[in-house]
Amino acid sequence: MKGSSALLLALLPCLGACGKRQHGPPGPVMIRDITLPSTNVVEILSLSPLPSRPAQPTNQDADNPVAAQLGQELFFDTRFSANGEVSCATCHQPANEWTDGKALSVGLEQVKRNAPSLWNVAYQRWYFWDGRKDSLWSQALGPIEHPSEMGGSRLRAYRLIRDTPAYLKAYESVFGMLPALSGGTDVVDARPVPDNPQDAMHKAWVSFPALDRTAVDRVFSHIGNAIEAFQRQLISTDAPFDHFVAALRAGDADGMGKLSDAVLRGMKIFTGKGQCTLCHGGPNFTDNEFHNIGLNRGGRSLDQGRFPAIEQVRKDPFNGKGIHSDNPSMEANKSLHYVAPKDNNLGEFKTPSLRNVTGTGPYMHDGRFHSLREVVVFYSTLPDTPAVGHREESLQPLHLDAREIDDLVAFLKSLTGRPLEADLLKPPEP
Amino acid sequence: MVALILTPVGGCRVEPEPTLDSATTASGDYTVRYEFEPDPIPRNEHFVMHVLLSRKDGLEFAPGLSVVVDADMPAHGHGINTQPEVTMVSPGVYKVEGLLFHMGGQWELFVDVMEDGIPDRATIPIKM
Ligand code: HEC
Ligand code: HEC
Repeated sequence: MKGSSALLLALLPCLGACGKRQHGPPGPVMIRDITLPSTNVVEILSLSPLPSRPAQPTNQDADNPVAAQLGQELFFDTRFSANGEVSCATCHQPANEWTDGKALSVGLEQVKRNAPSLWNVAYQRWYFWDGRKDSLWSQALGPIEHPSEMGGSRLRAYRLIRDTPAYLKAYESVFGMLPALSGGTDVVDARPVPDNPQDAMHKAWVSFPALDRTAVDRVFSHIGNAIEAFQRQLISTDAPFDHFVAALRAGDADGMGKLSDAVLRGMKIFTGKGQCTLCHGGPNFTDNEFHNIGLNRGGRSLDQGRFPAIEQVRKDPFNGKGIHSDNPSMEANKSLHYVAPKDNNLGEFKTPSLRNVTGTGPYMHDGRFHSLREVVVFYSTLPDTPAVGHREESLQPLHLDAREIDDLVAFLKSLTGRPLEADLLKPPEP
Repeated sequence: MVALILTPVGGCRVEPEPTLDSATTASGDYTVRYEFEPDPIPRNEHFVMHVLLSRKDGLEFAPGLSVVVDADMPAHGHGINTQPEVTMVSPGVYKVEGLLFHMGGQWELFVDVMEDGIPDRATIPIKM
């Protein structure tokens, strides 16, 4: 035993010898006649400020301005799509909080889920409602090839870079020389369609030499890298709530008093009996993980959410541990490395950030709620039998009265941040 | 134990009588001493657990003995979203990676000492 404890000691820098950090809890705060107890204050402080965006080790150009500028062009370019009419901005509209205002998005045809806003996407751990992607660069490749969204292909995307002089120039300055293909010059669309080998795009894809396929995949992943760099700039912060927290930290009573009574009461519910911060916790108002909040099927086809997505992200050739990642190490991909499907993942969806939530409706993965009031009434009553799996047991009906519902909605409206620079809202000037 | 742990490591200040936290398995046969890195456990970030396993009767470990770690939130009906990996550093010393508590609240961390495929569980309550 003694030998092994000495070994353990050697493993730990401060084993036992350093006392645990002690922070006194902050005291309660009174603003006009509203008291925020100490437990609420602790939660409130944990929600702001938003730190700077996290590093992105699997894309070394994630913060490269030239890549971001190229990504911005690509984001608004409809030529990726099969009909030449759909771009990322069709469903993620800058003037519409980076979403489309629809319950279910429409590209080439209607899709099965609601388009999430792109605010603060840089801060997330998983992408899509079910988290079947582990990076923004890998996520961007999905809609380009999705038959209902843009219906294009990686070959079409490659050709667009090759044949657009401005794109080629920017591409080569960031990623190096564009690899040439040995054949297939007359083919427009080619991509793997593993579940339908008879698909014309799949047949075209497998007819390419392996080296060409690798080259196209490489360029495709770089397109994702550039689009990621653009989207990392879509940051929502400096909301009235953040100003409140700054004033709270500074002990500035006047600053804190700028929020209305309704917002303050709503904040108290959000961080107290509403238990909203259990999941919508931390400065981006999300735990970046998945929960089953017990929504029913809503008259739609069954959506299993997180469970099947875990296998998908682990097998994805464009994940952070794959050959197109700029850092496939385990250290850089801990979340992917350790993720494993659990029974409770059935029917779970990602906790959305609530920053700028006022304008991002309709709400939920299928856009079933058209107003924030409807969302809050849902949490107040929890009327549904879950479509699949079990509702997380920490969620119990809150039985809020009409004023409390209004207060919680008023609080959510205090999370709208400073607008972006105008030049991020449109394709860059040539 | 205590004397060993008191040895100042890495220039840290020595506190009076510090000890590792510990738990006992259901059978009472094993003591699980543990330390988290970082400590306290950060919410929603990966952390490492170091485990020091010992037998109450002081005997040798059975051949093939292994340790499995999992965690649960009893009030929520769900657990941890990862599959923690346990590496044996030397007999009785284990390093557990891939732990992440994504929510605040009451967690239970399970250390299962597996002998012949049968778990003997130590339960460690953790308030996040
Ligand atoms: C047809 C509409 C449509 C188009 C076109 C589209 N998206 Fe989306 N986007 C969606 C929908 C719907 C989802 C959610 C899908 C899901 O969860 O399965 C989504 C999800 C996302 C997400 C994940 C956000 C999150 O919080 O997880 C990002 C990022 C994103 N899209 C960026 C893009 C980019 C970049 C493009 C262009 C390459 C694009 N989208 C094109 C509709 C669209
Ligand atoms: C158990 C975790 C959990 C708790 C607690 C929780 N939420 Fe949610 N919330 C979620 C998840 C998961 C979704 C997405 C569900 C879906 O689309 O299927 C969501 C969706 C939302 C949305 C819709 C956002 C959007 O962009 O579509 C709002 C608004 C919201 N929650 C507010 C709240 C409020 C207010 C509370 C407290 C009363 C709360 N939530 C408590 C997990 C939680």
